[in-house]
Amino acid sequence: MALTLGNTKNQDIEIIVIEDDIDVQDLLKAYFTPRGYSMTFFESPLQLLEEAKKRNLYADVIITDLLLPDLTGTELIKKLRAWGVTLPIILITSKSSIQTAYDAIQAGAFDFIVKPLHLPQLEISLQRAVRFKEILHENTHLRQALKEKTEIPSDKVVAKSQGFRNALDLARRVAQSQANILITGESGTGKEVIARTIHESGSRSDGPFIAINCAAIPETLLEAELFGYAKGSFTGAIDKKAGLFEEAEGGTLFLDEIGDLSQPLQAKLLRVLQDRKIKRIGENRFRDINVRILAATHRNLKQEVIEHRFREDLYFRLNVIPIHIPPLRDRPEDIMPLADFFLRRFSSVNVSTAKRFSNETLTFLLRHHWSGNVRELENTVERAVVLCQSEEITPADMLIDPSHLPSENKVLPLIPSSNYQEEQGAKGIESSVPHFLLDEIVKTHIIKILEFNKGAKDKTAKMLGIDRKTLYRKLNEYGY
Amino acid sequence: MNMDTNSFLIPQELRERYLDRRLKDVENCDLKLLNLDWAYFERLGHQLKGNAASFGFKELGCIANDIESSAKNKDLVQLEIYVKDFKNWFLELKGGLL
Repeated sequence: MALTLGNTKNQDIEIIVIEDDIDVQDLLKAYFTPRGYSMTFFESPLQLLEEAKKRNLYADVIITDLLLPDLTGTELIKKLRAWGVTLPIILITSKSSIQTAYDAIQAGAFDFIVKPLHLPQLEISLQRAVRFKEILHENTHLRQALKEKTEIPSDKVVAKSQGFRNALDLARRVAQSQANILITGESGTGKEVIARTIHESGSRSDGPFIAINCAAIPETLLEAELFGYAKGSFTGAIDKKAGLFEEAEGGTLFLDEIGDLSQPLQAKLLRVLQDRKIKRIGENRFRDINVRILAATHRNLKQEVIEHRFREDLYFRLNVIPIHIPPLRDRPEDIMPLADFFLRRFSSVNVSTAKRFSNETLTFLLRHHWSGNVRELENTVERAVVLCQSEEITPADMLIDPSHLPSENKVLPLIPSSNYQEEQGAKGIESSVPHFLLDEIVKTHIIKILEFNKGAKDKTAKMLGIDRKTLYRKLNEYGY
Repeated sequence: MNMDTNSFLIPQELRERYLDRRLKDVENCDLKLLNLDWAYFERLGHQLKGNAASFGFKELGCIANDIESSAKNKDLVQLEIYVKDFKNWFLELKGGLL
């Protein structure tokens, strides 16, 4: 649809008018043109739609009559909204019934003005519409900027390891479906990142993404948060409140740590998943919901079912598509790219001098067990960036006693990412990572050369000095 | 007759063009009545109902409303009366202007 936002200046406001009455066209031109508005007229909705298919039409506001030759103004509004046009549309009509006004607003009209036109009134409505459009535009930009600042976009998720990439690929593949998805993985592995990827890659990406940690809120409050409540339904319910199921309408509700949900709430959630209806606390009527529910847990839900702590029927309903995220220690290829990413991010946010990790720090990062996974790594790097007073982060900046570094027999087989090596320049990696398992070195090296050659296997085999068959066999072993 | 209902002075040229179009409507009416062209009168009535007052012709707006509803009801007797009112309104106005 080539019908987009016009300029945002107050002068030269672009208006598209769909009006078949030439007298009204004359009137609008005579009033608005000398006042700095630019008007383009179409005599029928189809004429506009055809023109919009052929060329880019720019407008700040659309004004349409209700009774028109081929489509009604209300039908036109519905069509434009279905095409994704968000411009404010003002409907003008001689038919001044409440039902007509209701239908127009329901269809997505910004305002409804009854003929005979009171032109100053129409101008006020136009100015409000332009302001609304500007706020909408500004809001979109601010949301985008905020999102870029606070989140890692799913297409820029730092993931070198096959394990995490598999999880991401699966998330993107199932995003368009409506099937229930259960994301499992230790705390801090990035379950919310996967949930966001599903949301952003699916048809609900324009809707809200709401996440709630079920383990962080007491049971009674959680029920009120999720389902909402009626005024006076319990002490403190001084007003009615919509729950998160309703707030996530048209979007995604991410229920993190679902394994910590109490049995009564498990039963209620099961009902929501089955019926797609919710009932606010203290209300008798059910409300339909249109929400995709994603769940995640660090627990072994199957075991929880065996031990009767989690409902089996709910488990099966949630676990239609399971996505497992391996812990960070099982995907050591991700440690350095992630550490590097957090270093750049927090250095920029904190205006820090920190630019790289010392060899000792690097050793620590690579050897550490990371029981808190990516979250622990993120916090560790943030702390180090804040405390660092030079360009190089040392273990002291991480508040780690070097004697507490893990022993060498716990060494994780890893070498840093190619980006990281480039930034580290002549420092090299040999001194920072003293011991590797030979097979892992071979694997990492082969994969790096393959990535360097952008997947070209002939070139990679040549560079490695092995024949192509050997390379294929190796890659097959590595699951590539 | 109030010529400035919108606190906006309608340019003389615009009003003249409006009345020229009404003259054509008046000229068309007899033939359209003869053909029982209900759709024509419904549309004419609807448009004039919506635009006449904006040009300062409130009375025409009322007549147009009656034309639209009688055409909708396919009430020829009433329609002929209102078409006649329309013609008279126009002649009186033109007479006044001349």
